[in-house]
Amino acid sequence: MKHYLTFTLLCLFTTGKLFASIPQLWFSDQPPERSMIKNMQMRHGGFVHVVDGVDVKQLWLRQGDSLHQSDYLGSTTKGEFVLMDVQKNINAPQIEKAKQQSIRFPMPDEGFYNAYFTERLVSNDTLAVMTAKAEILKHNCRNGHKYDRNLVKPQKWSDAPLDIVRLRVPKEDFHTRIRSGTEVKFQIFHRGNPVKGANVKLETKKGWVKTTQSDDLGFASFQIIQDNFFDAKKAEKQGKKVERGHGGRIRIRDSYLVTAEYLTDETGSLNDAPFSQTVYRVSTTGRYYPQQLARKSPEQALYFASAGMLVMGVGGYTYRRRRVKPFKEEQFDEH
Amino acid sequence: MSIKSRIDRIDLRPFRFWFQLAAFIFLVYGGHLAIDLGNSLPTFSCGYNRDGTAGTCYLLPLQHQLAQPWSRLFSPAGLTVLTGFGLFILWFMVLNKAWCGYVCPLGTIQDWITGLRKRLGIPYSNYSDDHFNKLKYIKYFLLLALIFIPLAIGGQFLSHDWGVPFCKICPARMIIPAFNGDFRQWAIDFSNDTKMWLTALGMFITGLFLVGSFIKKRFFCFFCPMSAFHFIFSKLSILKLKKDGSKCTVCGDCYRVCDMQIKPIADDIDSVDILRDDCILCLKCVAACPEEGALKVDILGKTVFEATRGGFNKRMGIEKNDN
Amino acid sequence: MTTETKIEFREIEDSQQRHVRHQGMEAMQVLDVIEKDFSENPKAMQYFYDLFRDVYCNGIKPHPGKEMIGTMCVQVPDEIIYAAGGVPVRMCNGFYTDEEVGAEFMPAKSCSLVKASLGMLKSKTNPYSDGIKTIVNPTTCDQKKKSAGIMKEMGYNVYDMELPPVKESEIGREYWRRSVRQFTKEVGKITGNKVTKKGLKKTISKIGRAQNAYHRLNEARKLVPLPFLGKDMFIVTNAFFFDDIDRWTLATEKLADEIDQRVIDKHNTAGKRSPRIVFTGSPPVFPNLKVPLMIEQSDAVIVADETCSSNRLLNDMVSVDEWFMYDMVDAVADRYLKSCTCPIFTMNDDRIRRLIELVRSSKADGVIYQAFAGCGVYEMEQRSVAKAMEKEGIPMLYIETDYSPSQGGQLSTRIEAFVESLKARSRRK
Repeated sequence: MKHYLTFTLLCLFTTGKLFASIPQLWFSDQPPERSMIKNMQMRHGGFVHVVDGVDVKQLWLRQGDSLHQSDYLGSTTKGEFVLMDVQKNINAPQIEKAKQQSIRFPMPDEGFYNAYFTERLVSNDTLAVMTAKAEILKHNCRNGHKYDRNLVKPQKWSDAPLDIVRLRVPKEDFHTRIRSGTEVKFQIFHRGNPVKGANVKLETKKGWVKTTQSDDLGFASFQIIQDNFFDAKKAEKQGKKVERGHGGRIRIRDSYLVTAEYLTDETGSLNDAPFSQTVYRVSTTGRYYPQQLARKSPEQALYFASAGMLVMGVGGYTYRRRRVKPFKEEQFDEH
Repeated sequence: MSIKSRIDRIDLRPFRFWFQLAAFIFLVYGGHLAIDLGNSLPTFSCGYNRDGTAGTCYLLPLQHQLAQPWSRLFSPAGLTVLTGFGLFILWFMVLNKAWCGYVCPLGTIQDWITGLRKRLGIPYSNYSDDHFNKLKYIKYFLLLALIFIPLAIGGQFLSHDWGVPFCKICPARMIIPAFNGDFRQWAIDFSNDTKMWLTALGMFITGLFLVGSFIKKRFFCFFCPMSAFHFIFSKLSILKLKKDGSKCTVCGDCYRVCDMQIKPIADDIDSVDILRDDCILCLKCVAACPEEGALKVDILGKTVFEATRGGFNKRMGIEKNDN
Repeated sequence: MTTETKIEFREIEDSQQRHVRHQGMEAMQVLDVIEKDFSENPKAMQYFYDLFRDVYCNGIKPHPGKEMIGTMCVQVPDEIIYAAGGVPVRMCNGFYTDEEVGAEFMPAKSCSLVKASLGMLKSKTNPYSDGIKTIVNPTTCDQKKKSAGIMKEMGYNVYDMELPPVKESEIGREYWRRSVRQFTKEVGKITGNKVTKKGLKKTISKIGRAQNAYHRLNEARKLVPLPFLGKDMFIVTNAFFFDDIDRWTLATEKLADEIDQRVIDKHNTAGKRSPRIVFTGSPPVFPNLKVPLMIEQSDAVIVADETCSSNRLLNDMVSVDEWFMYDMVDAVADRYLKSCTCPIFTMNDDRIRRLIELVRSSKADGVIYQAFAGCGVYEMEQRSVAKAMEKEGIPMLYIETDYSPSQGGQLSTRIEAFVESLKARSRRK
């Protein structure tokens, strides 16, 4: 509670202009209909289908002003899907032709898969190259935990119009969770090269927003807000509706959407529509959790351990003292 | 002197000490060298020891797997539970319960604490016969709990807060990562009531463990559900502890030295396969038996170590010009 | 010398002197048989023959200047007495001469051994018995138990060491451990030396070494061809009753070395067809080696025994886990209770198992079971042992005997007949 509101809610209108003009595009692994989850399984990287024993990830495209106000895109959306697997091979994922636009791809190997969707359109004399990116973890504890450190490393797609890569926190592994108060660092690349001066905005599902600009090496960092995670149990007792995940587990977490935008003076035309400048935009999502220490107490743990030691010590000692007495009388039950 | 009789005359104490130390270093720090024996190990090589562990105790994935939704657990996808289990059995078959007496890091720590006590010249305690017979069921109770609680989670009878219930109260979770300087597990989790009570119980048990193993040899092993789990499958192992009742004089030397107070090792003269549920197969009994061939260790039916008079005399330091 | 001076003037003997003379004669007679009636005695046996002659015929006192503590039964822990600086001396006695003295304290139909032991303590003629002030008397059979009062009356300081009548139970075991723990403290008061950790460790290994020497002999005699006779084994183990333990161990190790050489040379002390016998029952104590000698004089050989004067005395070893008093004393206690095959316990299946194992491992042809007339416990166990032997197909001869020399002829006839039947049995095979 001490570090409450280390985050400042800022809406910088100078950089906010472009963000406002076109709704953001992003990948979601939550199906449009909740009933679909029943046939899916929960893994470390979210819900997956299991086909012939292989995890198959499905991602939906959504567009909207914020995480909780986004629509699922229809199947008529035009654009280019790219999938980069663990070995950095570039493939095209399978495009699902359903009511909503989604892609499916199998994840046979442990590590991170990166999916991209890029849409180009000209509006107001400007070419907008909009990319949605998703970084999906494939990890199953059955495969052990001796993963190569290289598998944890972030990967970039060198041909991406604009790529945003979350750099790893110290000692990150497949189980690491981003927690409140953590410094999360992103790096922005334009066709494989770091981008200076891109506008980067992080917005949480609850609506906290912070923007910054990438530095010389394309880095932009944010400290995740010390959010006020609500006490789900209490809320439920008060009759409020609580989101419950698989197995009735109350999810104590929140999501963020991070978007980077970069403006160039590239000119040209697309489908006979000329443009005099180009804006690149990329967005990706992530989750964050409450700080561990906020809910864990090593101090009280030591009290309990000491209590255990005391009980055992005193118990052992009295037992021995009692044994020094030569005889122990038999006791009878008089009832 | 043949190799066999050399082995029979081995001084078990230093042999075990070094073997256990090597196994401890391997399992607790091997992970730093990218060693990974998988996660079906039949010993308390704690999975919470993230970077260090060279393989994971089977109880952790088992509890995870059993907590799957029933629709999945009882579907072909649930077969993966069986593969993990099969691997566990294969590992177990190699050493039988010697996993406890020679490999288990938590067991080794208890032996070190015993060593400390010995150095201080403080006597050990034993359970009385009566207490022994009552307390011995705790490990079966824990085994049932660690199977049925996850199943109940999968069936949505219990909340996920009950996940991996045994690990939450197992002292290995606190103690083994601590050897890598990781004390993150030494905490009470206040996320919810269930976790709070389970982690608090875990810390309490850790306290009991530290003092208990000082007072009683192999204090924790007596309650270990892994030990109970082992025993169910002990007949499958290639390693066997055997007794020839006709050669036994029921002198009780084996029972005396037994860290686990297993009385039938001395009193049972009918069983050939003398391994009992509490046994950690440390083989101290074989080393302490003065009767030729009364107790022996077989691997695939071939005797590798047996009680001999010469070996007994050597170990007890009473050998002079025996040939 | 002339015929006139032929008359010798003997000093008039008092009863004590007569008793000593008779005892010496009795001992001499038996030693002569043991030494001279058999050929091929191991050379190293000479030490033991001389030892018995010195002690029983020449009146040389063992352990001068040491606190001797009398022990009535095999269950008294020697390790602890030695650790307290005392010397345990076994009071079980085999002299007919003493039995006659002891008879006055006991009913007519009671055990010769107990009578002889009391007789010895009364007359104090035995070279070692007159140095004894304290006697440790474990509560074994009724006759030994009741001797406590008689010995106290004689002026001895008697320590009653409580032994449980059931050895299988945990209560019994704990009872006995407490008994031994208490004894460890008390014996220190008697000798004036506290039993220390270091001292007890030393004596445990000292006795362990002695046991090891015994085991070497015991293993060798199980072999075919037989390297030495059973009567010598009884002499060796009887010497353990009173001899200095270090000297005894050295002599026994020397003997074992000689026997080992005989084994290598395939030396055979038995006859070509001599039946191999396992001896059990009431203990043969020097000089009452009547029955063992009769057996070996009838062309049979004793290849193993299950008696408290030999096998039971030295068979089981102390095993210690932690070399501290708390563990060592308990370990010593367990050695004397858990594996003890004494018939005073309620159940004694261990004895039957031990017998069967001995018959098997020593390739014996039969068992001879001696029970002293009046020794209720051995007499009673005869039935169950006989039944078990019959079940296993092992021929057994049951002999009821006592210390009196008159019984000889009839006994030897029975033994010879048994030996012949064993021979015939093996021929049939």
